[in-house]
Amino acid sequence: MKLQTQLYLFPGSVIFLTLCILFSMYWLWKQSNTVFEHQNYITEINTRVHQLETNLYLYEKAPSLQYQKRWEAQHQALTRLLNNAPALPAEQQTLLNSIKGLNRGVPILFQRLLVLSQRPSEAQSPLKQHINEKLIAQLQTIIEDSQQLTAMVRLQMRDNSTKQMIVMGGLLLFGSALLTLLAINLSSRIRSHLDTLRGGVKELEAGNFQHQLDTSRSDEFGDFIEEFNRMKQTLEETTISRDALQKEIDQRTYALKHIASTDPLTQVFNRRKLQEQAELEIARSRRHDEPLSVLLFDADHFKSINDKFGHSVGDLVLIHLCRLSESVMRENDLIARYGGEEFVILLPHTDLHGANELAARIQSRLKDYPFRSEEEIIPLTVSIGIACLQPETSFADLIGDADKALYDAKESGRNCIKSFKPLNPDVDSRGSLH
Amino acid sequence: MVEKNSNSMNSSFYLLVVLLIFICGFFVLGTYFSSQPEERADFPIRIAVSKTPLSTPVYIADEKGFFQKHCGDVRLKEVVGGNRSFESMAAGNADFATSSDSVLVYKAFNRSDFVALASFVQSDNDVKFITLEDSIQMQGSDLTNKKIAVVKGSASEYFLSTYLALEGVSADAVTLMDMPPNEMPDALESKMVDAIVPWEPFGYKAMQKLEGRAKVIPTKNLYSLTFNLVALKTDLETRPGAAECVLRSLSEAIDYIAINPLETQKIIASRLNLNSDFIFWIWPDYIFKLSLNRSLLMNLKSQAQWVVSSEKSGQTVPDFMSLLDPEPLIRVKPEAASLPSSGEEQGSLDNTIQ
Repeated sequence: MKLQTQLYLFPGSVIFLTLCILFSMYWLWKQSNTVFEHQNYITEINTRVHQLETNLYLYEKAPSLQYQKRWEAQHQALTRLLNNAPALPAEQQTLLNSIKGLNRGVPILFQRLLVLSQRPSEAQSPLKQHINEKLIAQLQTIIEDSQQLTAMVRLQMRDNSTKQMIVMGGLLLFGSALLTLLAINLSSRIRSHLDTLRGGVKELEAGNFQHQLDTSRSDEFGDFIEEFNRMKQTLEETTISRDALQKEIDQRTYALKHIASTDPLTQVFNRRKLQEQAELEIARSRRHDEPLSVLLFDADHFKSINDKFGHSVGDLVLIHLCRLSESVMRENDLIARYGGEEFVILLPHTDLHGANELAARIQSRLKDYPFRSEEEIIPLTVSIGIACLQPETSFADLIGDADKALYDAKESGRNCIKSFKPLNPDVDSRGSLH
Repeated sequence: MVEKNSNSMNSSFYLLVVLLIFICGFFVLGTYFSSQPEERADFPIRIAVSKTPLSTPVYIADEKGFFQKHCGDVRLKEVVGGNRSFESMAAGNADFATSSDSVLVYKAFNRSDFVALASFVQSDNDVKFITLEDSIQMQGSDLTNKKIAVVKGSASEYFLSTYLALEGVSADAVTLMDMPPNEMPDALESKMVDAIVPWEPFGYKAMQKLEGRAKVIPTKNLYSLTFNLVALKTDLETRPGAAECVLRSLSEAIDYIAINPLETQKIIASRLNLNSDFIFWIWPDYIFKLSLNRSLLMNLKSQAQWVVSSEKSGQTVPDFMSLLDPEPLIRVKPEAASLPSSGEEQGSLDNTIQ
């Protein structure tokens, strides 16, 4: 049943119950009115019959035309009253029929009494006495019948009151039970709906868009649930798009960052990135008092290679050089292109000795893996300058030192390794000040 | 899903509680309004019913199944006249009789082993005084030396005695011939008698048979008779509940008669094989009512007093209070039984009879 229908049913039931109560009150009021009418009617009969009886007694005491006429008039009034009787129940109708029948015989007896009264010889005769007794007995019977009628009407009134109480009580009881049941059912339904909705919202809150709420209800809430589920689906689709977009953004940001920090030819870091990273390593080196070294190297006779084999080959040579260097580097080491054919390798946690070892490995690797173009093998050597970070110096100073060492290597005939020796004898090979 | 089922179960539970309350309520109401369980007799009940329209309540109770409903097996034994009905009961051939108050008065002078349980009908024009149309006016002294057919010891005889007194004729001045009412029409036609005093329907049958050659002397209200349910005291003791169920059936029949007069008349016309016009003619004279009250007592005493006075036999008026048993009627319809107490009754009697 739809919720709206049930909500309408609530006031509808109240109205219906009210109408039932009003109708039953009206019906019982009508019944009570009828019973009161009957009671009044019967009381009237009683009164008139008693008048007849009294008048008969008076006539017997002192027969006169006056009493005779009065008695006859009273009887006619009683007869008119009996002929205009209301409709009565079966039991009461029986008694009324009896009263009517007895009433028909009363004037006959009275006439006989009059006849006998007019005969002097019959004044005290047993016959007259008999007729008189018969008339009195007949009137007495009418009185008894009307008294019985009165008792019946009283009983009817009592039954009506009881009936009224039971009908009203029953209606109110039924109505209360029905309305209570409706209210309980309604609140139960609403609570159930709210619980379902709460569950759905919690699922949403937890980011679970998969769980669909039960849509088997046929009421308004069922429609609402369907819309809620559609909303969840839309949210799910939107969230997936957002995540995908974010991922795309992250990827592109990474790509951009990579492009911004990478040499496009050799795919090693560029100078800008080298600068950034070097400053971080310098700060770390100073913080932890650990050595930091750099290798500055370039390809020997690179210009000749370019001139002889072309710039394309020259580029390949540089790429080869970087790949070979990367193959001997540690994971934390960083290689960057410093200049045209100059490369810097930043060596955290590395002293001069360690840097020399790396330099030697590069040279060895170059020897083992010469550059091969399409046509021939191009011998390739590098000159390497090594420098250690000095106290209270910057990266520019460090590069400057490595550059001096490189110059020294070039002056020494190329294809060699030279280390920068600081002028301060208190600085050891680690670059530390004693 | 589990939560949905739980809510449905709660609603069903409440609905069940409400329904249980109503069922209990209606059960209590039904018990409250239902009448007390009746004692149905577990033996056949025999009623000697006089074949007269006065026995209408008995015939209706039989026809409409009220006897079956309240008593079970009830068998009617049809007889002619309340006197024969009484005799049948006294002989043990019936459990109940339907007799007029006159029969009870005459019987009471000789026996006291019976009781009247209730009157169920009254008529002030059931006994007729019929003569031949061409006979001399049968009034006043014209009645002297006339032969008149009566049913001795019954309402017929009492009625005639009252009529004679009214006409100023001594009972010795006429010759009474005792004969059953069904033989009276032939007796009048053959002029064996000068007048007949039958009760209905034999008065009507006499008029039909004589087809305008007979006439009815107007005597309405001269004598009101009641028809009463009578039983032997010993029978009441050995068969408790029978009187009550018969009275209950008669009460329901009388209520039916009050509401369905036309249908009742048709039923009686059929049962008694009577002309419906006759039934319609006599119907206004009948008063169907279940009662046992002072008026019956006064009536019985009045008649008894009249018998004592007129017959001058030296007998005393019987104690009719001991011949009326209101107990069964009180259990069926308490408001219909209103007999005075012994002391109250005696004072009333002195005031009215003496």
